[in-house]
Parts: sequence; structure tokens; C-alpha cells
Amino acid sequence: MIDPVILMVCIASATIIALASAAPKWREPSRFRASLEAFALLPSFALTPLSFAFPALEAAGAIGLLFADTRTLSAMVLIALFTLFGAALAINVLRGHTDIDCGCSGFIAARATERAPKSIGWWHVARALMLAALACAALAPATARELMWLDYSSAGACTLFAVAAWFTLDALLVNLPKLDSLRNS
Amino acid sequence: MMQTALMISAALSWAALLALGAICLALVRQVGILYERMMPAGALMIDKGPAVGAIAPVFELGDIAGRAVKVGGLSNSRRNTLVFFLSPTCPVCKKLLPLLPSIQAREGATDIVLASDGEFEEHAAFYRKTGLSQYPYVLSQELGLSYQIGKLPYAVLLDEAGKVRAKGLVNTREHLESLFEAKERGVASLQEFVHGKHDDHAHHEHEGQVGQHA
Repeated sequence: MIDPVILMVCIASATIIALASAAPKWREPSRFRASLEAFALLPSFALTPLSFAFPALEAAGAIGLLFADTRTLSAMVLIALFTLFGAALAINVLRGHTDIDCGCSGFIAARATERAPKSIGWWHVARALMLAALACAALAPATARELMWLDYSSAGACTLFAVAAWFTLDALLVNLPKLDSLRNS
Repeated sequence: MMQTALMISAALSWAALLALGAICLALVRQVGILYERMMPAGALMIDKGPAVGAIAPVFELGDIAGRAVKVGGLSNSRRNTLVFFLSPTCPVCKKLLPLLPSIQAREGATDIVLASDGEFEEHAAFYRKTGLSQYPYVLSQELGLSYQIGKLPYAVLLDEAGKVRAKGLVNTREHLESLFEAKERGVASLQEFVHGKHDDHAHHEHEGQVGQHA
């Protein structure tokens, strides 16, 4: 049982973050396909259909999360997607295959140039699992209490903060390989 | 009811505060790594031409616009002179030229002289295009020869007494500023300063170890 305000924050921020990370995959399907290929886990015939299916599921899950009727199913879809993604990242990190683009950093990575150094690491795995945990929180039942204006303002402000903090972490994560490449140059 | 709402709001604020603290730490760490990996390198000094500390040869030249320019010798107005050797065909020079006014404003009491040699027409056209008419542009093979300029862009900083205070190959703003920094610190080049500091450091460490053993 969690407080309805915290539930609202979890749902809203999960929706915004999932939509923001699905958008660049829609805009540049070829780039996402290249990322999937770099993971070296899928047979080549599955790459193109999945490069459309994953962003579609992600966006549908994000929007479905907002409505009470579809919330459980959508949360399940998102949890499955993010866990799968985390597992795929973990396998590649364990393989030592870390110099690939994770295709995950939302619009921050979309702005980065092609030449910018990219790599994946345990931080990316943790990031995917955190997203899964956020979607998990949306499944928790809310305590019944009467909401007042302060609750709505808390939920709104906290959602904004959570999304901003998330994108800041993303930017820090994108900067890590750039810092590393400075050492090697 | 209000109490619950306030409690939730305070709890969320604390969570946000903690998250912000963690983000700040991560940011500061990245900035720290950045500083460490982008330490100032200083202009590359090439051991040719008048040495740092030596009196620079004095040249009385005329610039492209016909103004009389004195490079070297005692400055009556007690100003430094930054001689910037360039060529219209050098891309790094073009990148550095727009920075000269702001460097002059920052360093103060410094005259800047642009120096090159070659075809008058080519240089006159280049000079017009740069829009830096406030700085004299001299064409003199002797000036370049006396400092033995081999690579461009090269800069020499002369002090008010006409002594060479710093010189080197400059590729970035940081390199240009390192010449002034070297003059202020009284060292021949920032490279020598950084290097010398490290040596001192190692020396002290060594002494410390000896002390510990004793």
C-alpha cells in the first residue's frame, strides 16, 4: 500500500520517461535497429520487426499506464520490456562487449553526434532496472484517503523534479564515455 | 487531512533533496575528472631564436596600412608587445584571430602586432577580411627569420623593456594565455612551470619518506 500521491508521481514520471525514450526510436528507426544489432542477441530476421515493435510497446505501455483500466497490463508490459533490456545489457557487459550504443538515453543521446564515443556498463543495467522498479510501483495499490489541493501540487512538482533528475542522470551517463575518451586521446 | 498531505509533501521534498545531493556529487566528480584530464598544457616552446629573458632584436617596420610599427626595444608607454605570426593560409590562425581583442582586453597594457611575410596583395586582402584593422599587420621576412619561425601560428610576448618573456606555438586560447601566465609567474614557459612544480613535489615527497625512515 502506498500513498496515492506517491503513486501519481510514479505513474506520471514512468509515463513521461518511457515516452521520451520511445520518441527517438520512432524518429530514427534505423539507428535503433543498429543498436539492436550491436547487442548481438537477436537473429537478423527479427531485427527490423522488433525495432518497430519495441518502441510501439513502450509507447503503448506508457500511455496505458495513465488509465486505471489498462494500468496493470501496461505496467506488466513495461516491466517486461525494461527487465529484458536490462538483461540484454547485462549479458553484453558480462561478455565484455561494452563499446556499443545502448540506444536508451532518450533525446539526450539523439542529439549526440555519430562520432561521440559510446559505451555501456553496469550503470546502464541499473538504469534499466530502476525503470522496471518504477513501473512496478505503479502496480501497488493506493491507500484510500481524501486528496486535497496540496496533494496535487506535491504530485505535480515532484513529477517534474523526478523527470528532470532522471534526464540529468542520463546526461551524466552519456558523458561518462566522453570523459574516458579524453583519457585515451 | 491537511496533516497527511503535509507529511507526504515533506517526505517527497526530502527524497528530492537527497536525490539532488547525489546528482550534485556525481556532477562535481565529473567536473573534477574533466579538470584533471584537460590540464593547461601551455604553448609549445621551440628552442630557436632569441631565448626567453634575452633582449629582443629591434625592428622599425611599416605595416600594410602604412603605419610605423616598432617591434622590440624599450616601450615608452610601458606596454607589452604580443607579436602574432600568422599566414592567410593557416586555418588555426583564422580560428585564433577573433580571440585577440578579448585577450588584449583581459591582459591590459599589451600591443598586438600581426606578422607575416609574402605577397602584399594577398595579405592586404586577408587583413581587410579579418576586420582587425586596430592591430598593425607587418610583412617582414627579417622579423620571422630573427625569431626563426618554422611553424604557425606562433606568438612571442615582449615586455616593456624589450625582453622576450614567453614564446611558442599557439593552437588554442589557452596556449595564447599561457604566454601571459608565464610572464606573470616569471617562468620561461608554462610547460617548464608545470614540469618544475612536479619535480618539486616529487622532491618533497622523497624528503618526507626519508624523514619517516629516520
